[in-house]
Amino acid sequence: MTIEAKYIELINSDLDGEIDDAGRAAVAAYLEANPEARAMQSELADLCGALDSMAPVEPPSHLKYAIMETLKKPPARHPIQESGWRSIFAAPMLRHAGAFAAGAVLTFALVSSNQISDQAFDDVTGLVGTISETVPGEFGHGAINLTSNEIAGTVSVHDAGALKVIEFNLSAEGPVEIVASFPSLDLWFKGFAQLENNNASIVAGEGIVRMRMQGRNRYAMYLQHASNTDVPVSFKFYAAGNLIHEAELILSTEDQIIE
Amino acid sequence: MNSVDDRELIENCMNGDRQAIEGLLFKYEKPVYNAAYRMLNSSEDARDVTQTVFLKVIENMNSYNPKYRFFSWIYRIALNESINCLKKQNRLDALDREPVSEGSGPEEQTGSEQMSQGMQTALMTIKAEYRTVIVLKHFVDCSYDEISQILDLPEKKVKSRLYTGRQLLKEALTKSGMH
Repeated sequence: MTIEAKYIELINSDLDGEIDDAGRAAVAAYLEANPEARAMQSELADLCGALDSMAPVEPPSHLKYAIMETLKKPPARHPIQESGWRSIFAAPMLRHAGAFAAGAVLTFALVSSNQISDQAFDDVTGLVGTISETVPGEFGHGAINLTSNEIAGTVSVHDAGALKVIEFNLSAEGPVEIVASFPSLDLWFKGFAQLENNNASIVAGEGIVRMRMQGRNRYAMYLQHASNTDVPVSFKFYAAGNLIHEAELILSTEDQIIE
Repeated sequence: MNSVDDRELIENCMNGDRQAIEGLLFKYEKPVYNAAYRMLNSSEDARDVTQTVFLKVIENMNSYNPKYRFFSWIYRIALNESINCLKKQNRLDALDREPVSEGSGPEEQTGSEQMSQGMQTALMTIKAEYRTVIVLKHFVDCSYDEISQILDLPEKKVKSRLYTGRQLLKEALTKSGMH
């Protein structure tokens, strides 16, 4: 006994829940009379059940963030007529002085005297953008772009005179440890601020800073640069104890105020 | 699939509202990623496709015709991108690339994971045109009418592809000893 094409369609439609009452009754009667159709219906039901029971796959946790980052358009570069107090800081020297002063206040507020910290500070969202500007990438090392499965985003340097602000704008699938080391004695840790979310932790010692994070985070580390030489800071990114990325940023003295 | 909400989100996206873009992403990231993953069997490729889909959606938002439902547009882009990715893979396969396969070894998998992986492997053996309708029906939960809109095919053709696809899938599973 073969199965009529019309009933193959009706059996499939029935399994998909796209059949009217009359069709359903016709399928039931046909299955009753046709063992071959019953076997086919049973096999198809198993197959559809197996397909429907497959769990949805979770996208990587940082995918949303990576997409939003990609969608960001570069800001329009129009000459801006500044006015009032803002224009005072537009002059390069004064701008740096203002940035340095703001940085100094911030540092005072954020840093414990022994330079060791293992907890989050107050939220100072937006402060980095307010007090500093991005270092123009000395040797092309002004920013680190991360696009691995474990971690995505950027680590960038902002310059506030002698105060260097390293901004971490990252999203990590699981727990990630970032180790920043700077062997130069001319550079030392001055502070840490959470800019978005509050779940990154930091331990700072002489010439080394360890940060731990998971999920979406934006935070900043402040380093004091006390000489007029370029200083490298190396970054190692670890996930589950494995080194997943290694990069170096050069802290340039180009814009530094030397008094 | 609530097209009323979509319309509002899209209007706001067109006005450059970043929150609306995030809303769109929140709503469609997972289904788009899942559709791509089932088409490609690779989380890395699914991630790239999802990213491309949203870029294309936002870039071409102005050319979106609100006469059509938004989900059919975004899924169509997702499936086309997945098929483009498969074509690229096929070109690379011709150059001796290792076949794409993901997941832990059988000794590390639970029964349902093995079943799921076996089903995914079988899915990859059938032609993309059949896989597409199976993915839309079983993983994106579309009706015949919705699949017909997404693929711009008559409903009759959708049904026939779905039945043939299931038949081919059953045969592939039998061949692999899973059915």
